[in-house]
Amino acid sequence: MDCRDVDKFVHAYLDGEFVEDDRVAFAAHVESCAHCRRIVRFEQGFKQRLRDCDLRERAPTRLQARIQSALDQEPAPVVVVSWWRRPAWVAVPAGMAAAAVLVVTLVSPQDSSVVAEQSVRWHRSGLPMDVQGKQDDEIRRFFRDKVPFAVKLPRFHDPSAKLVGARLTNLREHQAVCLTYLVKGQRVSVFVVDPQALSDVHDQRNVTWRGVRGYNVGMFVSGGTGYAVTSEMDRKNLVRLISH
Amino acid sequence: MALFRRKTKEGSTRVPFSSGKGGLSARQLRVHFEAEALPYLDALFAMALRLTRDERDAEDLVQDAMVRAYRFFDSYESGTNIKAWLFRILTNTFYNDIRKTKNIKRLESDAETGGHFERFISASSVQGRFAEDALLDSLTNEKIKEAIDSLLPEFATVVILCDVHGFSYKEIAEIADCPVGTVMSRLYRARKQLQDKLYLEALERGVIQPKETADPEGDEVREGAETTDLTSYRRRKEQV
Ligand SMILES: [Zn+2]
Repeated sequence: MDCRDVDKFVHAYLDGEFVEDDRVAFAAHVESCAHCRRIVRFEQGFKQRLRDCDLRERAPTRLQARIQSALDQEPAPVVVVSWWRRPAWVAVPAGMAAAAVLVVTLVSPQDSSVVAEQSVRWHRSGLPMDVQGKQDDEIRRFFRDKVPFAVKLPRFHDPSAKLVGARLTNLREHQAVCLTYLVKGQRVSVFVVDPQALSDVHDQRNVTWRGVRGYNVGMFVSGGTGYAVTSEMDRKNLVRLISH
Repeated sequence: MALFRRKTKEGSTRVPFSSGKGGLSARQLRVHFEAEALPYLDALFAMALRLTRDERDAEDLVQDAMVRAYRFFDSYESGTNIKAWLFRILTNTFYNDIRKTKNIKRLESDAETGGHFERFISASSVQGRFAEDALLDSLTNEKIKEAIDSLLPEFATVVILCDVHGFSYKEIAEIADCPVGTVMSRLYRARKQLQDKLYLEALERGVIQPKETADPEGDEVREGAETTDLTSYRRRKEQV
């Protein structure tokens, strides 16, 4: 240990990050060196001054209530009963399962309008993303443990479509991933959802369209995944973008 | 969150919260989350306030972070350091979201090679060290807060985590998602910058006097700090 080391490691020493041997060597040098003693004393005083500076502002009392009501809006974590991870009690013969799906379809015929509404709200909000990147793989990996379904990214036929990022969100009680693309300078938001959230989108081949506040939302189910595509783009261009 | 799936002292991996307590109802999970997370509300808010420098923004940031923590509560392992986990989510949220929209300056590079941090020491911080008690006594809480707020968020973050919240370097590395060497480098630079600012500011206010009348060796300081330190030390010793 020399003076140079003391200057370099004085913080690690004071922050209690040294193993015993290093601490002893450090202390021995400081003991024998008035110059380093001053440095240590000053840094110690400075650190103490920061600690005493009362940087622990108290949160306003309303914040806890705000958070609790925000949590009320959230689906419970983990306990997501979804299409893909059916709990054991739903594991019934195929015919029965189909019947159960039919019931869901009948009791909530307006799912697509809810999804369209929420998609547009999301699209307009421009909320920041949980993960950014242009690599499909990165996005898929990021969401692997976070949503109870495989995030299958849509394949656009327009090579200029660029994936900007994605965010975890929710549609009613369903978790969903919202992907943001840029296509020729225009933003396109794609909700990837449990198809259960789109129970009234029956036809696997056709896209169900809804117009919400000037935005077009195209919804479809493909390969067991539900999609809602939202953009200012006109319907014709959106069709070209998502059709295979 | 992979960093928090760390091994316990015995070397066994802890059972994730979700699989360990899979039988909990949604209500129980919520109660459990609030019991674990809400005690840190003040600490998180204090951190958010230093990062955003605005009370409303700080509230929004804490709320956003709490909601995310709740969403990912299954990836948090019961019994591990929830405070560090919450701080990590908070700082991530800040860096990924708020900073982009507010266009806050970012740290370009940690300017370090092979884990060694840079050896740049400015003249004023060296002087500040030798102004010692006079400098420390002159500091008001307001001035210190101002100085911290003037740091880049990367620097402010490590100082606050270390000096205000007492996190270890390893925990700070996990929260800030960087190697321990980077934490050390940032702490070093952050404290130097703080001392610089506070020293110059105290000089300006006239609450301390420069000990060294002039600073002709300012350039030498950059080359090797200890030479200058020793010079000034010897000079002072002669005066006594
Ligand atoms: Zn020494």
